[in-house]
Amino acid sequence: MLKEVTIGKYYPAQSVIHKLDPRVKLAGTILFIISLFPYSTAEVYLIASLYLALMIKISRIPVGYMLKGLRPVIILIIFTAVFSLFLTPGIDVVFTIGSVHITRSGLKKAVFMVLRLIYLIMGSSLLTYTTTPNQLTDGIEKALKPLNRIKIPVHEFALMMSLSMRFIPILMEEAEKITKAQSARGADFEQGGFVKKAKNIISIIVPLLVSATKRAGDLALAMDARCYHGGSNRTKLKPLKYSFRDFAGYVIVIFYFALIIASGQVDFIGY
Amino acid sequence: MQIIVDHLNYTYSKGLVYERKALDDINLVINRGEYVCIIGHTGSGKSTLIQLLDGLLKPDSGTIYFDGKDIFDGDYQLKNLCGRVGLVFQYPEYQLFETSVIEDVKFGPRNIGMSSLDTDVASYEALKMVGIGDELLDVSPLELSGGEKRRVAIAGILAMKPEVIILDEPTAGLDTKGRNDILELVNRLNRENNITVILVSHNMEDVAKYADRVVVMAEGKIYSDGTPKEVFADYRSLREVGLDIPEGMYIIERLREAGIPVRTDIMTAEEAAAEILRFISEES
Repeated sequence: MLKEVTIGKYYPAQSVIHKLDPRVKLAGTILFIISLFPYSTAEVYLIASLYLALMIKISRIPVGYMLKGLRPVIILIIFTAVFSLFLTPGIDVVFTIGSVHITRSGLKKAVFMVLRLIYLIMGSSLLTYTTTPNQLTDGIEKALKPLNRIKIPVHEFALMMSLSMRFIPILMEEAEKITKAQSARGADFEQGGFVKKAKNIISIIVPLLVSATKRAGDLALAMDARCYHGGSNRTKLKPLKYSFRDFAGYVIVIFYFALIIASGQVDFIGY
Repeated sequence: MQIIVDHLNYTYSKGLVYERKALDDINLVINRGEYVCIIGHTGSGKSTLIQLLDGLLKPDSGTIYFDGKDIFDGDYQLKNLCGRVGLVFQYPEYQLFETSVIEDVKFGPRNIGMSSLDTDVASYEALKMVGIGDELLDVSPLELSGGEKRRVAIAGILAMKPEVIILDEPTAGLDTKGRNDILELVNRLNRENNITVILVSHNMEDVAKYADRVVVMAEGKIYSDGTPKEVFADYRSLREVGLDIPEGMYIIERLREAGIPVRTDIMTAEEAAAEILRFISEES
């Protein structure tokens, strides 16, 4: 059940994108996300689609695996589509069902909202599929280092982030184990009334919380035992260093963003 | 023939880079009242097999018959199966969640639809069976010691009155007393209540001492199957799949290799000690 969730998981493969410096991928992802918002025109979304498709191709992540990542949010996507479709007011009515009018702008809004959501998820999953959590936090830590000057504990934040990411798979595995253990005691998580279901869910949540608290305590103790005291004077085993590939990556990302801005100014197809 | 495993195959993460074949054409027959130990190196497929036996996983192909019925057939009520085949996971104390010991034990029987009175009686009896005293019934399970927690968790399964009980390393992480308590309990369930026992273990001494039959698994296949004496007699090939033989047997083997004519049909440390004493007294 929980194995189905692929968002945020690393997918090992041999590709240029996997080898890129995490800071380039972070910048690329952020710019890609920003590029989806200012314009709702066919040209912009055509460019964004091509760009995303190209990146997925280069990353060598199976398209099916990418699409599987959308499964948990499919309800959200459907809701968004339905709401924009039926609840957008306007005079440009295309057709009417009973008292509900579907407008041209509603149709347009639904299409772009759905695309936007899908691309947002795919774009950010591409980052996590191709970057290990460790690389990602290293990248964030390094990129935010200047904030240290204004007394923001960047290293501590990065550590908290990498610890929580590190524990996601462990807790998921644990949740699955407990789910199985409770199923073996006859707990049914699919059938039955609301109260019964809620009661059965408690049988997972309580043990999960108990063990998460215990793990956190153990981890704090282990860090203390190794005299861990934060970021000052700590060196890295694999310090991040830009190579030619990374500069090329930045150029592509910036070029893409410029292209989006430029094509957003014109509206040839007129949608 | 209570359980028949028929050409069972199971693969994890099918179609992905993580794909791993866990079970490869497993065939196995387990009779009512048997005490079967499953041994095997980590990753040999033991845990997958026992989860399939309880219907918690669905096989890629092949099936399991319990009491003559195909448990993966669409019409089969899997929910009834978990009451009849009790599965005790590794570290089962992590599944405790209720506010009191007795309430936690009642969770299973309630789920399988036992009447309120039967639930109370079965839960109380199960706790008695595992040796939890009346003074602990209303205590929070989180306040118990490690060994007590585990016994409560096992009681939670026994309260469903299973005909088969499957235990995945029930003694892992317990002290000697806790271990002996649990192994004696399982032995009693098998001998006195005629419950079929399937025990996954890494401890060859325990296997030698209690099992009627040993199934060795390696790389998702059944490597050998027989009485402990038969299986352990072939200790050279056992070592190839990363398993050991009981210490008593090991000493006897070494003595034989050194040219000392001791008997070879020996498995436990006690038997080995007795045989060595007998040999010494005969020599002198």
